[in-house]
Amino acid sequence: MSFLTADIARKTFTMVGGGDVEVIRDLRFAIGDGEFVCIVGPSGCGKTTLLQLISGIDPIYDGAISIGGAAPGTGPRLGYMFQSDRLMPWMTVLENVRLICSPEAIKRGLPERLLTDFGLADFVNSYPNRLSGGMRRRVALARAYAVEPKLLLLDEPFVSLDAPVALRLRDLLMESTREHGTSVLFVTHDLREALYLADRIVFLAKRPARVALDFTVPLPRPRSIDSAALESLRTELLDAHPDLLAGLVPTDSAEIEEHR
Amino acid sequence: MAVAESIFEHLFEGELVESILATLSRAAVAFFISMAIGITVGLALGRSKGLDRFFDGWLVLGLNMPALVVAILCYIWFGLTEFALILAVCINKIPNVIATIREGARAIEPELIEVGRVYRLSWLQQLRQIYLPQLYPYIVAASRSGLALIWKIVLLFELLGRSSGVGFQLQVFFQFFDITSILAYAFAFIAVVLTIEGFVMRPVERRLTAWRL
Repeated sequence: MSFLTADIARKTFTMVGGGDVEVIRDLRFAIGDGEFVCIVGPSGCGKTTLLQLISGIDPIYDGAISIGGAAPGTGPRLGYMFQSDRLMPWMTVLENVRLICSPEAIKRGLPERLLTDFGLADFVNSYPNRLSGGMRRRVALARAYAVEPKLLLLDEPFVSLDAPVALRLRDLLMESTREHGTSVLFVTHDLREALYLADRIVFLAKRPARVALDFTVPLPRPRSIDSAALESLRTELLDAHPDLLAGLVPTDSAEIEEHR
Repeated sequence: MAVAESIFEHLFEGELVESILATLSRAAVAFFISMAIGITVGLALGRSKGLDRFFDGWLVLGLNMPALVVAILCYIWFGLTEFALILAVCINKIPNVIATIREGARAIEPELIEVGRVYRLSWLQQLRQIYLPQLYPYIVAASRSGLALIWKIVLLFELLGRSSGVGFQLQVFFQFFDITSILAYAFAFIAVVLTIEGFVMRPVERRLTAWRL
């Protein structure tokens, strides 16, 4: 039973100088209840746009998206972790998390509990600009969980963090999704990260984005990001589909993400 | 020395305190009305390109309208009344507030606005928790310059058309060439203004920008 189904016939942006650019065409995939799905594709291929359609920020597209049977922005609550932490700099850590909580959740102390779980108990009254980048991501992740989401959207959330910090945050993410039974859509361009985290990987082709390969990760859990099994799977995958990550640094499609 | 004596004299004879209070209350009323209208309109203009295009010309006109012309017209149309004075001060001040707040509204981070939308905050929550805090530095700036401007024109307009307040008293002393009393009033008034700046404006500003490093 799929929790999320996306069937996007067409998504275009109007460029500043006039004319339309097609970002997504005939993109179809589904996510099961409690499934962890990674979206992998070259940067600028429309991954962020896809998350914006699913989250309901951008309601203009041809096609249909259903989350638990409802249209984006109306159905079950979802958590969204952006590429940057996007914390309100004028609010303390605790205020940032409380901002998006229901009054009922605040009453039973959910923000404090989440922050403690995420190792931030000593920093609840700090302002974000006094925290390290890794800690700010943890606050952002706690905030995404504070709505008790059925679906969690993550947009390259651990990019630009150093390796040990990123590793700890990934484990924190996996632990909490398992615990809460959250469905996850995790966007990345790092194949190793995807193989480490995902139940299934949806590879996107370059613009206009569509599904190039829907791949179920056969590795048992717990996994290790530098294990031989993961590495050989990665090599195997790239041997079978040499063009899978092609255009990892595309020259012609970078402007779309910037344009947005 | 003579000025200090004069201050005490005026203080105990009563009309100094009365005049300053009259002027202060006029300035306060004009200030709050100007800020409320200016912030609302400024936010609207900063967020909507269409509105901005439509009102930009009017704003430039408002910013450059001589204060004296506005005051004289108000007094002619509405009589030498309290209402005419407050209206004239507001008409002078509001365009300034609008221009400052409009800049602030343009600088609002769309990324933070998106957070509010994704997590489905009510419009009131978005306004109070996400839009207004980003405007605070601009609101503080507008209040500062606003207060400074309002003092000056309230005195002037009192002199023109009212029979109470610091401006009116200054005019009386001017007619008698009483320089000592004029200086006494000026110093007393400056002391009040500095007190407001130090004990109201600065603490408010500190509180609103505490999060900055």
